[in-house]
Amino acid sequence: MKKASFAGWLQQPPVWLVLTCLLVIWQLATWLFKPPVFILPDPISIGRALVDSPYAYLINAYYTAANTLVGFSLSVVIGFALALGIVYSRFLEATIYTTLVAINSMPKVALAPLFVVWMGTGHSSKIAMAFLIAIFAIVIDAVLGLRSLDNEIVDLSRSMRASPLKLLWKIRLPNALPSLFAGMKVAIGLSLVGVLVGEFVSAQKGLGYLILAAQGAFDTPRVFVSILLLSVMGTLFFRLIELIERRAIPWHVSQRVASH
Amino acid sequence: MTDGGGRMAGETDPHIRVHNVTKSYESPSGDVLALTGVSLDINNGEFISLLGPSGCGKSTLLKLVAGLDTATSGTLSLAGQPISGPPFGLGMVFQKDVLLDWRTVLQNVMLPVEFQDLNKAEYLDRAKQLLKLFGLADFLDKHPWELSGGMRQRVAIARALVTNPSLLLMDEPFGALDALTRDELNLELQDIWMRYRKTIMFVTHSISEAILLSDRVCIMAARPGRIMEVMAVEFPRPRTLAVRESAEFSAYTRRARQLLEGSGVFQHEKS
Repeated sequence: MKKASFAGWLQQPPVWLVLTCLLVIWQLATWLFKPPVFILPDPISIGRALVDSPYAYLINAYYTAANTLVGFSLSVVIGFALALGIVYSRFLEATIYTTLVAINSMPKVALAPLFVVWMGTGHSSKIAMAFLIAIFAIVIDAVLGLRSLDNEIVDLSRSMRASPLKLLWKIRLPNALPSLFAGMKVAIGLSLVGVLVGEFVSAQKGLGYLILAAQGAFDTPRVFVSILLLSVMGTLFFRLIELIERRAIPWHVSQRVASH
Repeated sequence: MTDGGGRMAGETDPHIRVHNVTKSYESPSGDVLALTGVSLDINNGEFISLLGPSGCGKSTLLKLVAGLDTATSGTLSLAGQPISGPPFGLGMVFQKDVLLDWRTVLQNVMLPVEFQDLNKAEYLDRAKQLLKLFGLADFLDKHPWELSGGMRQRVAIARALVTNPSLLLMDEPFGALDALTRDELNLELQDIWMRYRKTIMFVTHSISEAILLSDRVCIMAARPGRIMEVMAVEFPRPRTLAVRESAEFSAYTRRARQLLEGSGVFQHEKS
């Protein structure tokens, strides 16, 4: 596989090549059909918009990223704690879990204006949105992971007179990690959506704010730059979690590399 | 520890006593009688098999002895103590090896030591020795998914033995293995048993496996689950696979088959 033969490239072309071709086609098409720039800007104008004021993009991207990560982290910590409670307590299962499932079925985006009323237009309303959208993925996947233990493992642990705490620490938790990571991969994308929705509703900072401001000025290239940065950010977050996953659960069937 | 020859003579109290045990489960279609009127005394260091069709309650009986479940009526005792909850000195092996994927072979074997807060350093040597005995000395740091089915089950047995339990309960431990691996493991289990003289209760579907391994075979029937006969197997140890081709072995097999047939197993063959 290491030899990058031309035939191999044709069969499975590298990502950068595909993207470059796409940009070239896009550029040629805009030259050819000349759409108004506020409808569909060409890649060169978009690039110029980025180069013109990189610092503004950087600082706004930073705000969006920071809020996303804080909201996401909160959803992981609190979501996992809730999942533990739900798995170990019939009462919490009957109360919190059913409530969460009920709330999950409503479009949470609709709550964004309320959050602004409650928490103002600063960080907290964005973080809260990110947290609220992401926590369901965490809770549902963590509960699934914590619950999926073979009967035999439970019997075996009991026959070894394992305390419930040791069963949790040595078996249930590691066993739940693959599900938890699956939940985190979904949740990180949802967190970004949450922050963006918060910024759309009311903000003075962030990429969501930039998009709205640029759109108001019919400055479509700047909208595209923001969208581009958002997708780069989302991809980086996802890869980061994958990287941690590879370190945390090298034993899982999805991560296995032949050791010899 | 008892010496091999005199263990029957001196013992007044059996190691395990099952007396008139009944176990019923509630199900939507009424109560199911999993075990009824089961009485069985098992001696210290004895190898006893529970043989019977699905639903005869052999696994249920094993779980009752393990203290993982409670009898509806009747009594069970281990070394004179009534069984309520998993007793000390118990090792279990299931048909599924249930090895933990995130632990190496050695770490898997050490699990009971960690669970029981025993001195790790002390048992580490024993764990390695057991794995060596099973021919797994070169696999200590491998993960379960790098092993074959037979090797995995050997690890599971080593795990059950690491804390040096007096009682080993095995629920169809070789049921998922191919026939040749199964033969191999039967012989290895016999070696282990002769070396350590654990009391072993062994659940199986296989008539020949039960006869090859056991001092006594407990032949059970289903609906309701009960013991039909306890058959003593008088072959000298160590037994080889060749013993299966002897006339006496066939006689035992015939006896077991006829009993099972009489209770309704192999119906399809008869008609």
